[in-house]
Amino acid sequence: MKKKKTKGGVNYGKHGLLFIAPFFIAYLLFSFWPLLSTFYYSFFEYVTRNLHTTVKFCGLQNYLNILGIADGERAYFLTYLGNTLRIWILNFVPQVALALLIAAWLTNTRTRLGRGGIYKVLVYMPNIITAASISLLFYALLSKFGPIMSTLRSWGLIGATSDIMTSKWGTSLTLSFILFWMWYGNSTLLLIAGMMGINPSLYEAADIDGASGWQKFTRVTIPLLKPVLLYVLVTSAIGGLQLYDIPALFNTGNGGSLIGLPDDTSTTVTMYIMRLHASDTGRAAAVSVLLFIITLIISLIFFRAFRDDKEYKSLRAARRRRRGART
Amino acid sequence: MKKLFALFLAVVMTLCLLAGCGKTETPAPTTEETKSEETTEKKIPENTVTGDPNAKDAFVVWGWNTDFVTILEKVLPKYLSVDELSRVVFVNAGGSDYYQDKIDEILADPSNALYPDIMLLEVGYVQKYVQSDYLQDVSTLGITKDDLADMYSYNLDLGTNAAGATKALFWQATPGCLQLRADLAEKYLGTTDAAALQEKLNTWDKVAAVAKQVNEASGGKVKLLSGYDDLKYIFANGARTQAWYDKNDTLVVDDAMKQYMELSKTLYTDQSTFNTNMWGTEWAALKDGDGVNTEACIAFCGCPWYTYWCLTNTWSSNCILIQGPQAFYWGGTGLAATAKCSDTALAGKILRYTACDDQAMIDINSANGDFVNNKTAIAYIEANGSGTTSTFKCYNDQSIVSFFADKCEGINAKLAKGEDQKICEGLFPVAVTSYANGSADMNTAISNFKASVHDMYSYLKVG
Repeated sequence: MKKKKTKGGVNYGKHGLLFIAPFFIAYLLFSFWPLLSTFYYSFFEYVTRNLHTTVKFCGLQNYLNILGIADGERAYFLTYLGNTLRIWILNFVPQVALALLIAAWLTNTRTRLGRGGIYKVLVYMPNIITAASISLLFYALLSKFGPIMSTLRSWGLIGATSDIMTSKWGTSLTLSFILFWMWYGNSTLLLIAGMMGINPSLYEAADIDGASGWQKFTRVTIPLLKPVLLYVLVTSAIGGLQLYDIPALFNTGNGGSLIGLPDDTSTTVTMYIMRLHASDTGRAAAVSVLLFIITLIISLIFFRAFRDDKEYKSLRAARRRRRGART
Repeated sequence: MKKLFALFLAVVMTLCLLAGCGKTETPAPTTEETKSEETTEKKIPENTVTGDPNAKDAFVVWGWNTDFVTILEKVLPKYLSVDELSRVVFVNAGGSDYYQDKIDEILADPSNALYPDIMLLEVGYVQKYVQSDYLQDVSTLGITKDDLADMYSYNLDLGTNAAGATKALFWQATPGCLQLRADLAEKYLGTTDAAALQEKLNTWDKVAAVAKQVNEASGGKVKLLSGYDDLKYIFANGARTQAWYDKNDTLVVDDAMKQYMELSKTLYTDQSTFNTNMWGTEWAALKDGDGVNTEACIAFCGCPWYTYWCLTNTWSSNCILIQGPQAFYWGGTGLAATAKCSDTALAGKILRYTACDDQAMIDINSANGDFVNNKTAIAYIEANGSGTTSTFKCYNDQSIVSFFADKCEGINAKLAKGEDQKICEGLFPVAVTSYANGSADMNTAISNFKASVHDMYSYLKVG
């Protein structure tokens, strides 16, 4: 916000720029420049053989290779994207639903939960443990002869050869559950903050008009929660599409090879990037760029869906008026 | 209300602490294997540097564990002068999973103070470096063909490049075997005589049949093998007659590997293994099962370092070594001097006394129990006993050194390639599993495998 002292006073406007400069410098150096470099590298073909690397310009060939369009190449990117989306969607739909529910209960004055302080702590606790530890813990618990499976087997609830680690849906659902369990607390707290910003007199007005709980939720809470919900969804999309640490440690092949078992069905796109980066940097860069584009598209879809129509239309009308007045 | 809840949480926490101390009947998977612990450490460990790398005449050696340090401290002082020893700087990269990444980085940076003069290499990837320009031919270090005469030939092949120049020398020999648990062998195979057991398990058909029979006899509690994944080195490092790709860089799946896939499918369909993966927690737990309340396995794939250091107490005086259907090699560490080595004379000396000199290699065995790559030394150790600090003994005092002494013949290591490790340990097991559990037929599994190798190494063609 620029403060202008008129009539020969000192202009403090430039000081504001100085304050925000460090962030922008750091962003340009460490985020924007690498982003541009990645675009650049994706147009080259790297061949590393016996420690000797040759770099050759190949235009869009990397993209054609990973999308399976080129001759003799498989669409690995699409397969891994499918895996990632499957794990992410199965996680984020229940996550946001449960977060909305808990947030609604904790901010509702009728349920005697007070400020809900202790519940917020409990709900957030899974997030403070590192993802790597959680992943290994769940693997140890759910492995074929681990405690949970052995107990279920001795109770006769599951067959003698059933094994989550060799089942595609077993592994994917477990990964979705781990992600859900880790992040629902975060979403809940954000939605609670959002809900507290809603004027309670609106609920009272709705009560007077005879609205049911569900109608209050859908007609009052959700529309007014749109900005916060948009933030939750976009950050969940970014985090989910870039999922790496949990599947990379949960059920993978030997020797740290980033192959998500069983049969490569729990490999995510970022695991693929890490797998490629040592041998073919150009291809890894192409995968990163495609992932960026997909994340961008999904985020734009969310932005469009959660756009505040009235505000958007009034802004658009104001712009048209200004343009009309100028001509 | 809040106070009650806080008290409840405190009690739950204390109980959790105490539960960890209690005795557990079920064998919780013990991670005794250092390999599996290394893979859980996802944070890349720092290099540990002993010695002063900034000294003018510093001589830098790179490794990933303390094996070489034992040699440096206990054996080389007898053959190198104090001055020469004090120049040696040892850099421990922290683990074999990170070693290649770190060393590749530093090889590209010759001006770095830690640029390696000598580097340690493992069989899985030694060819990658031997075929590159980064290593020196040992003949330029003063090591002659005579010096190399006492080595087991398969080790020489592993350290030699396509042009015939030997660049890496191995001080360890690692011929493979099958290790059988004597008590379970007695119960389910009816004998503890090594020759009789070898007769029972000397072809793959017999192995599959015996596995099925053991499974049925024990009601599923005891099986012959822990998983078909255990057999991968026997086929990849022993039975193959063709390398993973030919001279036109076209990928080849050798008949032996197809036989491995068929065997895995048979074992899977008969349910005669536990389908574990090597170095996993379940695989480790199966070594210690008692066969009655908890699951156990009779046979594990092995080699000298495995027998000495990786078998648990359950196997002490309870282990029978047999060759099994095929001779093979498994692992082994060697060293090589880099092309930009700062002192070829010292490098030559270190290589000579670590990998060539008979007496030095006897000393190495005394110091760390390695099965050394020297026929004369092994003959001596066989006659006079090994100095290894490992207290492991086999059933009936079967001599471990005598057993392994002749198991190095007949190993063909000329097929090794730099990409072997990633192919054999990462990509091929996926194909084997998908064929074994029926989710793909043979042609699809092989074509998927070739596509994944081509994806990782784009210069290898699917053909």
